[in-house]
Amino acid sequence: MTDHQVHLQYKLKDYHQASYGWAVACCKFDHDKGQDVLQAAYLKILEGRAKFDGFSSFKTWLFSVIKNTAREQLRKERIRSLLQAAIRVQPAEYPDLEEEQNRNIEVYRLKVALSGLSKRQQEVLHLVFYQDLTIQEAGHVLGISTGAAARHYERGKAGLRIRLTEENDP
Amino acid sequence: MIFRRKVTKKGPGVSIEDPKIRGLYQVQKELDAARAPDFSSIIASAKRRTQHNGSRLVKGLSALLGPQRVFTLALCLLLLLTGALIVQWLTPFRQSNFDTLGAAKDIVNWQPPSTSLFTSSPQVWFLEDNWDWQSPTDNLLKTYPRVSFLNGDS
Repeated sequence: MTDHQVHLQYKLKDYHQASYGWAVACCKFDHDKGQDVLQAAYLKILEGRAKFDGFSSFKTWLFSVIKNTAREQLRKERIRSLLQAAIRVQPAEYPDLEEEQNRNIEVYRLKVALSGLSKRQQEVLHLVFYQDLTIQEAGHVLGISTGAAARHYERGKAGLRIRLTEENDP
Repeated sequence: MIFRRKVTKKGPGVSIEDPKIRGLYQVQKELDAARAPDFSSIIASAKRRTQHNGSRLVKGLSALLGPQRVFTLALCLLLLLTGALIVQWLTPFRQSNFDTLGAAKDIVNWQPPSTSLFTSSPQVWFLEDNWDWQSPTDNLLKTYPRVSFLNGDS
């Protein structure tokens, strides 16, 4: 292993927890898929297929790589599920929400509320509230302008607030 | 009296705090942290995957379930057969000796099997529109200017 790879490994380790959370969020909260995506993203970086150009911070670049890897994996997954549908095999099920509900009611409520938002809004909210990134950095990760990211953030937050209130007062 | 509008300007990189939403995300963060796999184990399995990069394609097909594999192979076979049929269908048109009006492009060098049948014993025979073999006549030569003679005296 080269010095560069060792250096990269140290950097990846620093952001491992945050990367895992982002990978899971990119895979519709499926932890197994998130782990696969994270592994594939690490592999891309260590093999040199994804190179850090220094235009942004290492964290935002790493999150972009994870996001793109998750998109590739989900595309493959979609094709596989189409094949499965064609031969009438039951597709793999998404994480059991009931089990999730028992595990933590708060997180379950958040996930239910988030499911009513657009994908972009969910991503921006995750990056800002979970990953503590600024709106500008979130825009960098998602490849959109700061203005667009701010709009997604505002609308997403308003939508989330309404949904959480509705759940409290049915 | 000067009225000043209170402007709360936020910069492009600043996010407005929302304690309730942040609190929910923090709970999720803690749960994820508990479930996060060990970094070294992920790196180790990533390295194992690097070593098996060469056989990744084979692994991809063999990773499918039995019926899926059969379906995929059947689909490939079907596509291959369809391609072959299309090629076969297109081939005669590509090698066609007929022009756009359906007339033969070339005069066929053909000798009658027996001179007894063709008393005039012409040297040149050519194919007409109605697919009958005709001997050259003045009229036909006018109609079909592309006729050429075997002996070169056209």
